Amino acid sequence: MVFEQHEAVADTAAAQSENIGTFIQEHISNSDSWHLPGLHVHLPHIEPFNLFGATINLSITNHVVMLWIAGLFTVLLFTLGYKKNRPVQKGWGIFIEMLVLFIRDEIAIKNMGEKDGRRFTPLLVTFFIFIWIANLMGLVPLFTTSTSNINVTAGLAIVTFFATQIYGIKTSGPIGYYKNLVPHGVPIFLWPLMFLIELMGLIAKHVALTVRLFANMTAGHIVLFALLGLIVIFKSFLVAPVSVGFAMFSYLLEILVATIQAYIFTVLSSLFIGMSLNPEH
Amino acid sequence: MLQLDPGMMIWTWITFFAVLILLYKVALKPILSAISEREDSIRTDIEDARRQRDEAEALLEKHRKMVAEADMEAQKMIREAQSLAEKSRAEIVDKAREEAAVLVEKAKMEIEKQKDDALKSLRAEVVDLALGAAEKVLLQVVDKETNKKVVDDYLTSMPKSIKN
Repeated sequence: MVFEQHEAVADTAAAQSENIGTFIQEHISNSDSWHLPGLHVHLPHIEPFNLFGATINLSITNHVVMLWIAGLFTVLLFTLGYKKNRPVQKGWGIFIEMLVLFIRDEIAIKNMGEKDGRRFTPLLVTFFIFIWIANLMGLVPLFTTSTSNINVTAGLAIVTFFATQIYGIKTSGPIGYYKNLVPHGVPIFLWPLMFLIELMGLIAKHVALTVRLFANMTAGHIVLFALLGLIVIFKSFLVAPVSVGFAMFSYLLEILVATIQAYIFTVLSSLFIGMSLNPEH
Repeated sequence: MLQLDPGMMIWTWITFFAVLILLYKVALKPILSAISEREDSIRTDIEDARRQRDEAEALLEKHRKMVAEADMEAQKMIREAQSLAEKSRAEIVDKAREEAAVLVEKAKMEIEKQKDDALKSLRAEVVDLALGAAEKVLLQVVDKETNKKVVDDYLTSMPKSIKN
């Protein structure tokens, strides 16, 4: 009897897995509506327009809304949690202060030095909190992770990229900055080649920053849905304990990954900005 | 999943910078300034405390020295007073002794004088008596017996002290 059941499962599995695949695809990808239970909120559509040969679609999509919610939540966390008129904080205030202090001392000042570290702390704190909350939102029902969209992570990495370029040029001048890209002690005839390689490295660093966050956030969700999808594919409740168990495990792992990725993004951003501000001598 | 969508990127920037600016104005600026103010105040407090402790230690050292000096001074004063007292006692004793000696000397001299005076008057008396006795002897006719008796009487009538 068990054998027959397994045969039946094998038959339907092939058909079901395709459905599950598209379901996961749809869930992960951006859409123009917000799926709430029993209600599809259709978000405003703005006609795309062309600018410099690129089609720019400024429609308010699902991920844009999630970004806004993440931003709103970030600001609310800081304004409601931190009481300015209190010399010694309580509750959330302590947590926020600890977080800001940690980012200032352990990330910013350590990677950039005392003066620049203090200057860039607001940017790094915003990076960390914003990305962290955006990452964690995918784990809350009804919300999705905006950072599992490569355009969002690319946008954030480009902020870092421009920060490195603008502040690097500001401190050592345009010629000095790009000259510093090439390590010192390189023979003169290797300069053009090295410059090209370093330039590619510069771009690759930020592409890696983009892809790291995006891939981590996407992979977790795919794994989560794939595990739960197994129940549907096999049409058997026997799979459920295993699937739910593994899904629970990967959910908890996701919390860890969301935090770690936000931290890594912040640390690498501070490292890149610090490197462009203080080139090796 | 991997297609590029510039619109999404632009929305990311808009959202991120809005959050950055808002967060900086509303929360991060006051938080960071409060933190650095607190750090400064802690640092100055620690420095103040250190300086005050140093001052207190210096003061304590000074006071200790002062107490020791005062102690020494007192000891010295006591010693001086003692030696002074010793000296004055010796002086007084010496003086008393001297005075006593002077008095004794004076008394001796007085006695000597009295004795001289007494001797002088005695001598005059003796001369008178001798003259008287001689007169009596000369005036009376006396035998050997009587003569001897007169002299003996005379001698016994003389005070004993004049014998020598």
